[in-house]
Amino acid sequence: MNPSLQDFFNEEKKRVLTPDPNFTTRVMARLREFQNREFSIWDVIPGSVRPVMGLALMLILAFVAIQLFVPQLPEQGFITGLLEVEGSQSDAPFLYGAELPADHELLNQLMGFEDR
Amino acid sequence: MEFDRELIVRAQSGDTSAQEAIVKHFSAMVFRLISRFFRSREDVEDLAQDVFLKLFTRIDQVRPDENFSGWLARVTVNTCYDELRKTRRRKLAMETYGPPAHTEPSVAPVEPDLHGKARIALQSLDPKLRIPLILKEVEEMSVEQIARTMGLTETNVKVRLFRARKKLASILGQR
Repeated sequence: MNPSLQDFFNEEKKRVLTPDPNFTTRVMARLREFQNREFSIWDVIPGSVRPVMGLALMLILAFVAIQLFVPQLPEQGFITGLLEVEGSQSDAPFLYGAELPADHELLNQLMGFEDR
Repeated sequence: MEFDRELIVRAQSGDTSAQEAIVKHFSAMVFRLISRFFRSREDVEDLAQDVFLKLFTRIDQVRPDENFSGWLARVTVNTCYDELRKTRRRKLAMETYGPPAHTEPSVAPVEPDLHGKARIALQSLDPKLRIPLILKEVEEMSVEQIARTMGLTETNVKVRLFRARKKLASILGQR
């Protein structure tokens, strides 16, 4: 090995840090604080998974919000809706192409209207 | 000083005097081990506190008959490894995305001495290589002890030691 590196390692062996007398007190204080802390759901989830979990939760919430607050598309269009309000029951077959009513009187009335 | 294994059993049941005795008994060892990887006293103190917090939150996993100091050394080295990786990532991010360094310093930088060069070279090593090398050369651990402490196979440790020495030699050769 490089001699300067060997010297460096030998010097490092002599460099030792020792804890001060109050170190134990500080550790015990931190431990008490840690034990008294209220645990939330995030403390159960490992740190590495938290961003993914957060993103998934946000997506779910966004989906639910869209479902709740954005109105559903109406089953009939805007124009159809207006015509329905203005038109009478007898106009319905012409407007919506529904089958003609079996009522003979109404049929005759409609045919008379056509003839004129 | 002989370590009383009964302390582990008492600490597992939540006895704070036993926990305190464990901290007192092992704090010097934990400090010494962390100071091999970190130079500032504040960093060493913070990490040592983290190690003891981890120890007491996982103390249920410890069997009183197993090598407790070995287990604690493993927790300590893993804590150092995580911190070294974080520091390295932060440094890389600063170099990539941070403000550009001044290209023309007003004062010429002081050329580091031989120890300074060795220290800088060692700090530039990946923690995966740096930790086994320091454990071997400074802590004078055997390959088997390093393997147990780092949770690796002995072959893996030997490979890492070889790579670390080779890389250090090439870095120091360039300077």
